[in-house]
Order: sequence, then C-alpha cells, then structure tokens
Amino acid sequence: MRTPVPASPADVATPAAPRPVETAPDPAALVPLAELAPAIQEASVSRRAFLGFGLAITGALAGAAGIARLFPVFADDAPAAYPISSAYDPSTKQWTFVVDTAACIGCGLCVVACKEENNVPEEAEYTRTWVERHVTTTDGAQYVDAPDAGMNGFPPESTAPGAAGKFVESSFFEPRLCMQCSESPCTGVCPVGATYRTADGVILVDARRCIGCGYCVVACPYGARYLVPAGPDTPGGYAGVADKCTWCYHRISRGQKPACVEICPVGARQFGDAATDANIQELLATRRPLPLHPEYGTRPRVLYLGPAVEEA
Amino acid sequence: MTQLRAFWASVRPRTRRGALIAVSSIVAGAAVLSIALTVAASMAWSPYVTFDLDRASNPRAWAANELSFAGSTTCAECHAPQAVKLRANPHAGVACESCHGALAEHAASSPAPGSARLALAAATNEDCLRCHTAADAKPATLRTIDPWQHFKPVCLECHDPHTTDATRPPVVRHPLDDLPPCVTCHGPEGFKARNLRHPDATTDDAACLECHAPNRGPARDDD
Repeated sequence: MRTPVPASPADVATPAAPRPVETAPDPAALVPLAELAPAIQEASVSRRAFLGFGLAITGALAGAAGIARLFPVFADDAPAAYPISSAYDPSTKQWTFVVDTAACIGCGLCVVACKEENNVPEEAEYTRTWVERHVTTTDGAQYVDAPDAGMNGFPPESTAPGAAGKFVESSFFEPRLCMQCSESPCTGVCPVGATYRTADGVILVDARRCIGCGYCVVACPYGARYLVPAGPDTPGGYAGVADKCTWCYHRISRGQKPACVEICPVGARQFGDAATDANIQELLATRRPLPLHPEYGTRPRVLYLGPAVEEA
Repeated sequence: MTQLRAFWASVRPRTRRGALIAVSSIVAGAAVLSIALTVAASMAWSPYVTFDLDRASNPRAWAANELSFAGSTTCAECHAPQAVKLRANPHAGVACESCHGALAEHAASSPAPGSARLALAAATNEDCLRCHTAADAKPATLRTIDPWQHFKPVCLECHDPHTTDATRPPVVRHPLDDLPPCVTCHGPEGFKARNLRHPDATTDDAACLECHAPNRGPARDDD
C-alpha cells in the first residue's frame, strides 16, 4: 500500500534532464499574433459545440448523482432496517430505557455485569456504563464522585475533592449509559460512517470501519464512548476502535433485557418496548420520565426519574 | 491538435436531434455505470473498497454475541422452589445472578436435576455489603449497616439471603455469680461506644475472650 508509485511511461520517456534556466523570451523569436490567428481558428471548437459538450458532461454527472441518491448505500446517518434474524424485526421496536435515580442504591452491580456481558476491559476507565453519586452539601456546593466508575460500590462519603467532612443536604445516585440519542452527534461526526443507527434506534459501531480517530468520543456530550485499549481481551482484535453501550444488542434482539437491567437488584433500570411492554407504558404515562440535559439537543432515548431530573 | 479537431469534426453532432441523442446516451451511460457500482457496493464487492460494505452484517454480528447472564426467568425454569421463596420476600427484585454471578453457560448446558451440583461461588460478605453498607445517597428505604458496628462479621451466619430472615443476636445475660466487671463493657462513654463487632484476635478485651471465642457470638448460659 505504501510502496512507491512506479514511474509512468511518460516519466520514463523524458529522462530527468536538468530543468532549463528560465530566461526572458527573445522578442525576435516571438510570432506576431496576426500570423497565429488562422492556427487558433483551426484549433478552436465552436461556441455551440463547446456549450453542448459542457452541458452533456454536467448532465451526466447530475444524473449519476441523482441515481446514487436513490440507493442509500452510502448515506450514513439514515436509519435503515437491517435484517437481524427471522425472530427479530428492528423496525417494529420502540425500545425505551428508564432509570430511576430515587431507587438506585449505588451497588455498582450494573457496571460489573456490563463488563462481564460485553467483554469490556476490567479497568474502571473503560466502561460502557457507570454510576455517579451527586451530593449537595449544606453550604450549597455540589459534588459528583464515581470511584472506579462505581463498579466496587461507594464508600460512605463522597470522594470528590473538597467534599470530605461537609454535611450532606441531599444526595442521589445517577446510573449513566449511552443515551442512544435520536439526534446523535456521534454518528454525525464519524468521518467513515463506522457508527450508525439501526431501525430500532440503537446506535452501534462497526469495528471494521472504525479508524479510531476518537471524534465520536469527544462529540458525545454524555461521555458514553471510549476507545478500546489493546490487550488480550480486545473484542474481535480491533484495538483502538470506539466502543459504547449497545443496550446489549445481542440480548434485546433475543427478547432478553440488557444485562444491567437484568442484574439491578432494586429495579432502578427499566427497559422495554414502549409499543408492547405494559410496565414501560405505565412508567411513561404515570411518572413521566425526562431526559438528562435536554438542552444538549440530542433527544436522548434514556429517560430518568427521581432527583436527577427533579433537581437539575 | 489537428488530429483531435479532425476526430471532433467527425463525431460532433450535426443536428439538434443528433446533439440530443449524444447527450442522452452520455447520461444513460453514467446512469448505468452508477447503478452497476452501487449494486456492486451493496453486494459487498466493489473495485474501490476492500472492506465489507454490507451494513446489515454488523448489527447481525452484534446480535450474535454470546450471552453471559441467563436471566432470572431462565433460572426459575429449573430452580422454581428457590425462585418462589425469593419472590415472596424483600429480596424479590433481586435477580438470581445479582449474587450468584453470570450463569448463561450453566443454563445453556441444561444439567439434569441432581446430576451435578453447581459449584456456585458462595455468596460472600462483599455481595451483601455492596448494597447494604451505609453510604451517602442510599435511599432511606434500603436497610443499611455499618460493617464495623455490626454484630457479626459473616453475614450468612445469621441472614438467609433468599428469605432475608435473620437470626437475631442473642441477648447477653451474664449469670450474676459470673459477672465480669461492669467496666469491661460499660466504659465512660457507655456501652454503645464500644465496637460491637467481636474482636478477631486477642486484644485488651481479654475479659471478654475468657468466655467468648472470637467470631462465635456471645456464650450461652449453658456453655
């Protein structure tokens, strides 16, 4: 791929002669313009032919572009119905993820289960989901801590710098994951179309296409992405590619709940199809969950209940 | 240049109709070429790309990943008694695999009942304390403890995790004729100020350890 391009025949035909030194043209050698006029006339294309030829080329290009539009193979951001299996039709699903921050006890089992289920590296800094503890102290200051992404639970008091020893006014745990935004910045910035949205709204990363540029990692306002480190457990051998929560795509496409939802001991994470799941329908209708940071304008599809959205 | 001009003169359309035909055939040629390339690309073959352009294969690949967690519903298919017991108690919302770990492989192997004992990782203190250690932001409805003030260091010696029933710590009733000195327990700051957890090793609480072995709970009258 990186081998030098062989010299073309034209290059071979003109050996590397020293470039002649540029000098001012000798006025005597110049041919008067009037003598050249018949030759110019001879070489010219009529205006009609010129315009006609240009029109034909323009028309051909425009036609090709129009036809390519009809086949959205190269369109990266349009959700398309990629057939998954005979048992799973993504276009019929309205997956909804609801997180109850009033219920979360900060045990961190979700983080552990996610690593186990999705072959996420063991180190805390690589994680598809994490738990934050938001603490407001009596002096009005707010602190957020997430030691080891919450995977080992939480110590009695906030580990955020400056929080030690202060009296706590209010506090809550906030489990976080990919919001599977409807207006996702990550899919927009990907220069190679490696990250895309399926018809069920889940945003996935095609590791074969990903070039590891990290644009999506910094574009995500929710910090939901990371780059897979090289190591013995690198999924599929694709080190350096972007990875993120898939809502356990292999589970939901088999009718199972995501691992974090399955494992949560207090039901702080709820997941289901808003079209058919009575539990989710009731949650949406009666408790009216809200997205975190709607001002980002990405239309997140993970909705929150409890103090995270009541106080913020 | 003269040759080019001669070529152009020989092929250039002479009439309006000829020009129309020429333009149409160029557009049609471009159309056919772009359809051919598009179809080739969608069939995961193209002279211009060496990787698989077939988008559908990627969500299929994600969907084909192996499960690690079987799900409580799957567990209950075989382990109904335990599931029923669990669902009738405060731990009803806790999944089997929250404590027992990921068991999809076990579920997929469908062992015959009684054929082989599943080597479950015994629930450890960490499994319990992960949830039940007191910490800021824990909901008030969750029962929490301070592990350093709790009665015994091994949760499962008293607590049944499936039913959440607990053996209450016995009331310490020292026989009057064998009473240790009051100050053994009741220091200047009161009994509650003492570490309720029994010492693991011989400490200056030697007075206690004369009667009570470490980690064994209080002695009974008949010991």
